[in-house]
Amino acid sequence: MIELFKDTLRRIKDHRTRSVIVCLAVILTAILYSAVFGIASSTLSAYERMMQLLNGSDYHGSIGYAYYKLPCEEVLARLNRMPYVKEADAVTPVGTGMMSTEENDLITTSLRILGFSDSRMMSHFFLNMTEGRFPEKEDEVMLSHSFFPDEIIGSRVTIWLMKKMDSGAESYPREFTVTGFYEAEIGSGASELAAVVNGTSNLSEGMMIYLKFRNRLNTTGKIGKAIDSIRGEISGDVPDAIINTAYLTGNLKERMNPQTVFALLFSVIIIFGAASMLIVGVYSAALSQDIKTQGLLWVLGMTEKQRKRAIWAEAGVLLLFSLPVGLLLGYIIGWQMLVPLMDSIGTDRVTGRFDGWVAVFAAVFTAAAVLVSAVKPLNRIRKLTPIEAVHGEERHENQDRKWIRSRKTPGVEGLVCREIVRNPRAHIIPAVSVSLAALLIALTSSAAAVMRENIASDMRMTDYQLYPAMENSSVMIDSGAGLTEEFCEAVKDLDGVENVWPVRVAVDHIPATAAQKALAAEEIEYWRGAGWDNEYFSVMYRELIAAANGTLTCCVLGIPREFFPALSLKNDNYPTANKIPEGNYVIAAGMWRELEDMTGDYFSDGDTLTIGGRTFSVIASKGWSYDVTRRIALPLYMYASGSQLLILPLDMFETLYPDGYVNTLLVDEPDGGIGLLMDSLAELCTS
Amino acid sequence: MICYTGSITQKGESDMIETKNLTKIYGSDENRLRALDGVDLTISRGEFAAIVGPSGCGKSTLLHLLGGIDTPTEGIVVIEGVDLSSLAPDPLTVFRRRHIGFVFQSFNLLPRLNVWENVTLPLGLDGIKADKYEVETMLSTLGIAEKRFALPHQLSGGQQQRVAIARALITKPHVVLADEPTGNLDSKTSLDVVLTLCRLNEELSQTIVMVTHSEELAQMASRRIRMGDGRIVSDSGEASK
Ligand SMILES: Nc1ncnc2c1ncn2[C@@H]1O[C@H](COP(=O)(O)OP(=O)(O)O)[C@@H](O)[C@H]1O
Ligand SMILES: [Mg+2]
Repeated sequence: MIELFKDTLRRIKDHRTRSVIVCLAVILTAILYSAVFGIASSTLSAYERMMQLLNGSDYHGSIGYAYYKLPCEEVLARLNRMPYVKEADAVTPVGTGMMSTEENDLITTSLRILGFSDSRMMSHFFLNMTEGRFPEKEDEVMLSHSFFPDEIIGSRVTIWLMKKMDSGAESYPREFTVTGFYEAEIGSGASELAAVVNGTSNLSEGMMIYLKFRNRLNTTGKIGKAIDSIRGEISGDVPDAIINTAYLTGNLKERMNPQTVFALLFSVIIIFGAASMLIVGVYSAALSQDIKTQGLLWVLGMTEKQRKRAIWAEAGVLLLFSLPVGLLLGYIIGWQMLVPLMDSIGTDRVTGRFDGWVAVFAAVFTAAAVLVSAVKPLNRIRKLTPIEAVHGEERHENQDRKWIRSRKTPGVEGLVCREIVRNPRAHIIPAVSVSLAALLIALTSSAAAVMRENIASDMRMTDYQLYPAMENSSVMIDSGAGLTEEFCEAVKDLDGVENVWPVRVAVDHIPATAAQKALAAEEIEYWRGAGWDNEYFSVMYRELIAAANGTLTCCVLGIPREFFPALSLKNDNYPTANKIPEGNYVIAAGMWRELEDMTGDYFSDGDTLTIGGRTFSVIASKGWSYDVTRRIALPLYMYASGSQLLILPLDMFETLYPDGYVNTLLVDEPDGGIGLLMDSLAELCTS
Repeated sequence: MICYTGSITQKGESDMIETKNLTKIYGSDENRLRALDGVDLTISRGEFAAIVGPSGCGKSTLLHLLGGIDTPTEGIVVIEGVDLSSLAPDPLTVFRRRHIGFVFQSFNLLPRLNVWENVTLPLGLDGIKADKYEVETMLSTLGIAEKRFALPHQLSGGQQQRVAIARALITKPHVVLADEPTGNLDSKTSLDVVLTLCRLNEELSQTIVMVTHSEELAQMASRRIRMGDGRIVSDSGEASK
């Protein structure tokens, strides 16, 4: 073993040029692989991050509402004891509430109040504490700074809480002291999470358990087991398992652009080929210089196996020296390439991380390319003629060919031509290497372009999803009047803005069917029992009564067809409902998830709906409304009302509702990312 | 003691080398060349055979086939009872390094190995550590003991050829094949080298097949085989039978 190593070192020293070239090839290959795998991995991790943000947390999943016989602490302790559970935390959601403050007795908005079992949980939900401290007492609360800019630490706020009763729900006011403020990384987090309340377990009997596992494998199975372990302790319904789709590769596969996958695979193969060609070329050249020695060794009794071992040992030692360098450079260059790339897309919030596996994969592929290709030229020794072997003379490739009856005196060009034409095999490797290199360059740039485009479109979607166009800007959303023509034009002219997609809104009243009337009546009964017929819920309650009496209030949106992909709508019957089919289709989306879940939908697939004398086919909404409302800001009263959401392609909308107003502008992301856009918007709004 | 792992010829079996209808054809069609044409040859154990003949008559080709570094178009080569065509490439290589020693016209030493290393290389390939005493004996027998650490280019032609001979003999092969070993040497040195081979043939009773141009040197062998145009034209061994 030591002998072999010494011999190898000696060979390496003897063949300095070859060793240097092989080392360079290794380094280059490692760099290329690091870059390709790095781009892939960071795209994936950016994607994962994005999905985590969309899912609202980086937990692997959660177990939904249930009523437990055991106290919260004990359930959590039990789950924490499970071997694959890294962290089990509880959130006590306290229904939808509303808030009023000392100075202002008006309803601020509808809120969701979350009670965290632990302050550690905040980071899992992408909330960062900016001021003050985490609530410690039952009447303490943390608020979102951007949402409650007027509050200060120590101020008292009144929050309307809901308490679930056997017969329904009941709301009541409660006073809290503000202990601190947080910032939400997710745009919608600010409005959704009004407060972080400690020890709210006595406010609600329900509990949401969030689980973080030690790894991402088999999330569904693990959540199932977690449920099994506490099944005995719950009463009533079996809890729902909610899986964080950020961790599901299936989801990723579905969303991943096949182009990207193809480009990735292709570049892996091309790099392999190019590296192999280079190394085969190096060793072939070395071999023909070395053919006398190799031939002699063969005559003296060196077997092919021994020769392979020697070459592998040599390649191995060279790898040992150069691979770490290559990986290091790959990391630096790959990363240096990636970071600006990512930054240029403006993804400061969602940046991929360099994964250790990248280095492992790059190392494995590089080593494989080197080891496979280093021994390839050795096959030639098997075909050596004794003349080559013993005398080291140039082999006659043409020995079996017919005579060439040529009497032309070759000039320089003729010589070159004859060289190539009469011995094409000798030129295969350089020719293929050159074309592979060209291909590699072309591929790298196009792969980068594809990925860039891919990331860009994903990110654009994210921006829309995370920052539903200008949701919190009062200038942008005027619940009554909409955005002015001039304003839209001005936005279009902003620096870096490429496209502006207007979303138009109109309110319509359509006759309710018998089934819809019945449904509304049922809900009225239900919510009356829950205490919803008080002033705070009056808007919605009114709509319900209207529906029961035969008029459905609909909020009709006109959205450009080009923008539909960004809504990422889904429906079993229209798996690609990203596009509304051409023709008279309307998407009907119920406004309130909660209503849907409990009572079913007003609309279902295939219903026909007559709007403005035209008949439309309904693509029903199950679960869409939430997505839509997150992406598109609706007039506030729409939020509060029970009106239905209908989505039409913009062209149809404009003919049917010429009076509809622009309520939201969807803006194609400018180069500097959403931050820049926000800045220029702020400027525009103040001027 | 050198550990010898090759198969030992059974006593009584006197044929060391045997060829039957040995034919080698190079090329095809127009440039088809019959370099060897049905050579039947038997060389006994301990014989020192010299092959002579004009240039291009197939002497080297014959030697290459005997040593298993080329394959015949037709016919067979049997060395010590083993049909070389029955061996796969790697076993053939192993067989060669254990049973056959080669000496060439150009000395074919590895330029970066010193004398000692060049000589012991075949043992090394067999995974055997050379016995120091034995190597020294071999080097002094050949008169190159002082040069043991010299590199090939620091030696004269005669000395280089002696190193090559030592390398061919270090594994104690039963057959030594020498292709014009004196081709690059002056006549005095040539004589020296052939005398050395003669002595080794007597002392170690190795079977030696030597190709040479020189009638004079051929006379020193125990048997002379004359070739012409790929065939054996005359054979002193055959005549004496
Ligand atoms: N690899 C080869 N390809 C084609 N012809 C060959 C090859 N080796 C030898 N020959 C031809 O075979 C003939 C015999 O060659 P060789 O055995 O080397 O002759 P010599 O008796 O001079 O050693 C020669 O005519 C030579 O040109
Ligand atoms: Mg010859």
